[in-house]
Amino acid sequence: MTTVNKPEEGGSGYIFAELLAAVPDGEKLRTCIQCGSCSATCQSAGKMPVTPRKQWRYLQLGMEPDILEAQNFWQCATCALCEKRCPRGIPLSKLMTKLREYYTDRRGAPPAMAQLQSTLEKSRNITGDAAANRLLWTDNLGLDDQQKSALLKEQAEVIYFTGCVSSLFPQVYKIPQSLTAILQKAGVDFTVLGGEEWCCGYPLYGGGQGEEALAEYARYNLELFKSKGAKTVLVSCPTCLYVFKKIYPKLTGEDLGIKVQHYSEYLTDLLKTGQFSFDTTETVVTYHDPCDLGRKSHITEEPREILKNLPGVKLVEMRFTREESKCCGGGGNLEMLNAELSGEIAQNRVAEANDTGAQYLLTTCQQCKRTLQGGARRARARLKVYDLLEFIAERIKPAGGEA
Amino acid sequence: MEFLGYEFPEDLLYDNDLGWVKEEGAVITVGISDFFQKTAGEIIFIEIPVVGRKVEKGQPFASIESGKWVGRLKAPVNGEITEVNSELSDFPYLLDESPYQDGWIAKIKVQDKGELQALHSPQDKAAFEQFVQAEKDKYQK
Repeated sequence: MTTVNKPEEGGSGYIFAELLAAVPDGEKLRTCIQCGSCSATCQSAGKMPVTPRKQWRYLQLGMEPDILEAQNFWQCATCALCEKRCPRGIPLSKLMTKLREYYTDRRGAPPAMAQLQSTLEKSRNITGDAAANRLLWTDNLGLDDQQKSALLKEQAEVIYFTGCVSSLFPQVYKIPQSLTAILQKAGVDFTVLGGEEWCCGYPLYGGGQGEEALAEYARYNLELFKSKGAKTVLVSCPTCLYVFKKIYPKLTGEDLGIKVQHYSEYLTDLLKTGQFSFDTTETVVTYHDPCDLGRKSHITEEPREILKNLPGVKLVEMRFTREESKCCGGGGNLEMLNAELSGEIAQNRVAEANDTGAQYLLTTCQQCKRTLQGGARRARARLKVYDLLEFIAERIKPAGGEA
Repeated sequence: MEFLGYEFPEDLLYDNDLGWVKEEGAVITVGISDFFQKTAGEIIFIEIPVVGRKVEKGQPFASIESGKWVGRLKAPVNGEITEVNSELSDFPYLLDESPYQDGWIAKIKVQDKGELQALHSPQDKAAFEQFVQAEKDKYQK
């Protein structure tokens, strides 16, 4: 057992005491009583070389080489349930992400993260697609050129920031397709950003590059928002929401006076305005709270409020919900770092959903949808995995109906 | 006919991304080759184009997702989609299990049949093998 209480040489410089200081409330780690709640909570713990509890003990003791050798932090989905359950209130998830940064500084990024970083630098999106491909999801809507160009405006009250995954992964194209259909039907003055949009930058932060790596993404995207004269930026991705609200302000120190909202907040009232008429078929659904939306952004009631107001829809809850929700396995770049583990975590959540007897497993995040749908496919679960947007759009009766 | 461990029916033509093309008068049927599906891995989703849509040679007309990989299918010719295999929306595994039969993707009405000249044919064995080898090298890097 190595117990060298010295930092490695050649990194950017901070030792573990500084690491604790670099995370707000990080110093609380000194009060850890080794209760093991973090290990008991963590769905990745079984795949980590040392348990989370043990890793935090190593950190208290300054056993840097042991921590860097184990590389626990790359198996973390950054779901932050450990942080929620920690009786000492230690910011464990943020410390995990800081450890990724510390490791990357000293030993370089793992290949998958280095690849991602280079893709983002070249294309400003996570797949390496040409910028114009960000609008491929509009191609099969049967829109003519005029209708398509109406989605891209110079000025608009509302911007719909589509995000990389929803723009570029066909499995979730229905998310932007559904939101634009709802906004159009409600007569909202909105625009999408298409090829002008850049990634929010989260994959770099999750990949151990630190918050500062997002600075140019923050500057670019915020300038773009300003140029459209928008009052509201809507997102369908809870991670973009988290980045815009929690990370960008730290980087720019600027209050733009633009409201950033997840669609579930925006639609709660809009759907009650009486412009919509809904299918009333009796349907039983369960709802998965995405970590970045529920636990990290405290938005848990809005999606439920929407469901409560959809006629014929009955919500049955899973055992772990709201800010206690279990992860889908898709956070923290885990799908890229350890696809097998990500899939196992998804299957656990799908099993929990299946136990409710619901016909639909709904969520409010494109990445949760992708991982949970994969989990349902592998488990052969007879569950339809939908984003809430798709579910709403499917239940809206076409114009000329009873509305 | 097998090339480097991949099946390529010799009566079909192949585009630069190794999608296949079957000529039937003014209409072509398109799909992905055995090489394409093996390289992509388990295909979990395909976005099917809509009938009536105009497609442009070399431009994406459908997208495929497998795990963390996303691929764009580019139209081999200019034309219009006349029919699609909607079974693939529910059963994307047909692309892996039967790429040349049940996994066909779309039929396209061709504007200029001359454009088919640029496609690769396995009947020219040496040139075709060289082409497949080059593609294989690209993905094995």
